[in-house]
Amino acid sequence: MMLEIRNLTAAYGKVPALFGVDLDVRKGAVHGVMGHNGMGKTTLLRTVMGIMRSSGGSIVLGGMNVSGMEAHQRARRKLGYVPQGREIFGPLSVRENLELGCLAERNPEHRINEVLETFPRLKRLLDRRGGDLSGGEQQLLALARCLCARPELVLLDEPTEGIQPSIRDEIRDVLKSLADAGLTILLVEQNIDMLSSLCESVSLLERGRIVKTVHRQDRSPSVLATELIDLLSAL
Amino acid sequence: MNTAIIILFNIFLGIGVLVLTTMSLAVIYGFMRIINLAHGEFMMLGAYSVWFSTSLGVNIWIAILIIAPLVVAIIGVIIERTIIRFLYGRIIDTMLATWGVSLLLIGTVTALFGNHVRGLSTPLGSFSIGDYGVSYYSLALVVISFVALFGLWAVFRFTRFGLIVRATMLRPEMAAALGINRDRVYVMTFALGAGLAGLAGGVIAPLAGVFPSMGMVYIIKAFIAVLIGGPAAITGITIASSLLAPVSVVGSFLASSVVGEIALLTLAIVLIRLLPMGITGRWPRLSL
Ligand SMILES: Nc1ncnc2c1ncn2[C@@H]1O[C@H](COP(=O)(O)OP(=O)(O)O)[C@@H](O)[C@H]1O
Ligand SMILES: [Mg+2]
Repeated sequence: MMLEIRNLTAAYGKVPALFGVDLDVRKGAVHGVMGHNGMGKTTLLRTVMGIMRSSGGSIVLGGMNVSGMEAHQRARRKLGYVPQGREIFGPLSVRENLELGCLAERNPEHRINEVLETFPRLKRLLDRRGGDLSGGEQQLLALARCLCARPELVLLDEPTEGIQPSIRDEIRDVLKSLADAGLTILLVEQNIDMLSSLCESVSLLERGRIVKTVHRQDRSPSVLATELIDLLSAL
Repeated sequence: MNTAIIILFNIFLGIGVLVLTTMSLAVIYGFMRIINLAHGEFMMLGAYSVWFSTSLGVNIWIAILIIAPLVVAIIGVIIERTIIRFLYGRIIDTMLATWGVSLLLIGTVTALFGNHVRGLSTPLGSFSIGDYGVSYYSLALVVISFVALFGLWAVFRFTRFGLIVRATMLRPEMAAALGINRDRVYVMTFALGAGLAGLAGGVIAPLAGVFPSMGMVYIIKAFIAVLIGGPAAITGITIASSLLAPVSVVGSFLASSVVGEIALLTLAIVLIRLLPMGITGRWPRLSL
């Protein structure tokens, strides 16, 4: 397993947001998490990343218990994070944003060029300020910045939220090729097409708990999509 | 003609002093959002470092350019680790804490060295322009100020350290998720800011005299300059100093130094009224 979460709890002050989450992500898999707004999807990813402290339970990353580690230590253990809202460094150039993903690299310039092979759209934007990019371009940048650090597991929070359809397809294609190349992804998403076309398994998060997990097995994307829609509308 | 040259020189000197005494706040307030009420006392410690080390026979330039910033940077590290780091994001608490630090530092220095003015002989001598005497040291001050200002800008513009600091101040959580140790960045940035105050105090010491409450003269104007400068702090203090200092110098020349001060404060109030977010108010925070 790449990631094993057991009985994970987290709270904002005294208000609990995660009530004992159990979740496994197999190495090389794309695992989806869906759920309505406010159910705790972002909280789950922030807690796994270590930006938010857990109040109980355990997070095991690649066989090592990282529950007590700070976010930067988890990042150095090859955990990558593409947050909801993208969190681009607005006043910094696109190149500088990417350099921040290359802090452990010997030759950042080379690494950036390598990653940009997957993101041709960003090549022309290197000297623009991150804050001046469109939402879709910023999403690509956030993903590229994360990949620069050579993560083994990527936490991806609603990558297509509020993004124009043309770039949404581009993002899906990039994720598909990353998944085919063996990257492990924990994908929080509300868009059923994204989930059904990318994920090997999808969990439903409901009020801070995983209430159901569906495995693709041999189902086609459209069959899986129908099943996910049924699951969501049954709530 | 000579008078014009002297006025011009005094304008540069005024800008230099203002920039020099404000750079620390550009980092500690502009970047870190900490209102450091001990700013003047950090300068005072720099000045005492110069006085003390030269009295032990250290070369004055080494004392000013190396010992003063280093000593105050180390004191900055201690203060950040023991006090400031518990208070990030709590503006009022940090103000109270740094005010306490300021009183503590004044008290300690007074107890150790007494409450009188220690003079330092100004190095380098002087020359005259017409009837006016000008010390080479004040010329050196202008040069040191502009070199330090450019150096500070270059650090944030071109170095990996500068990039990491800006990213961390913009989005601490995202920076941590990229592998940056936030705590270390905070302490190093605070130390940089403290070191700049130490440098300022050290450079000014031979001109201003060294005494426990010497920092009070500078702190108000430094905060005015950084507030008027706005969110792009380094560019901001450069422009603000370049506007405020000439007004004060010309005012002093035409009437008296009191009039110069009043002119400076009047311009400051007008600028804050016209540009409440500062001169660089439309720039994003931490742009250069
Ligand atoms: N910063 C915060 N402070 C307090 N409560 C929060 C905060 N962020 C989220 N919450 C609460 O935690 C719950 C889960 O939120 P979140 O994880 O953002 O949900 P999702 O990503 O599924 O929309 C919600 O009830 C939300 O109101
Ligand atoms: Mg969310």
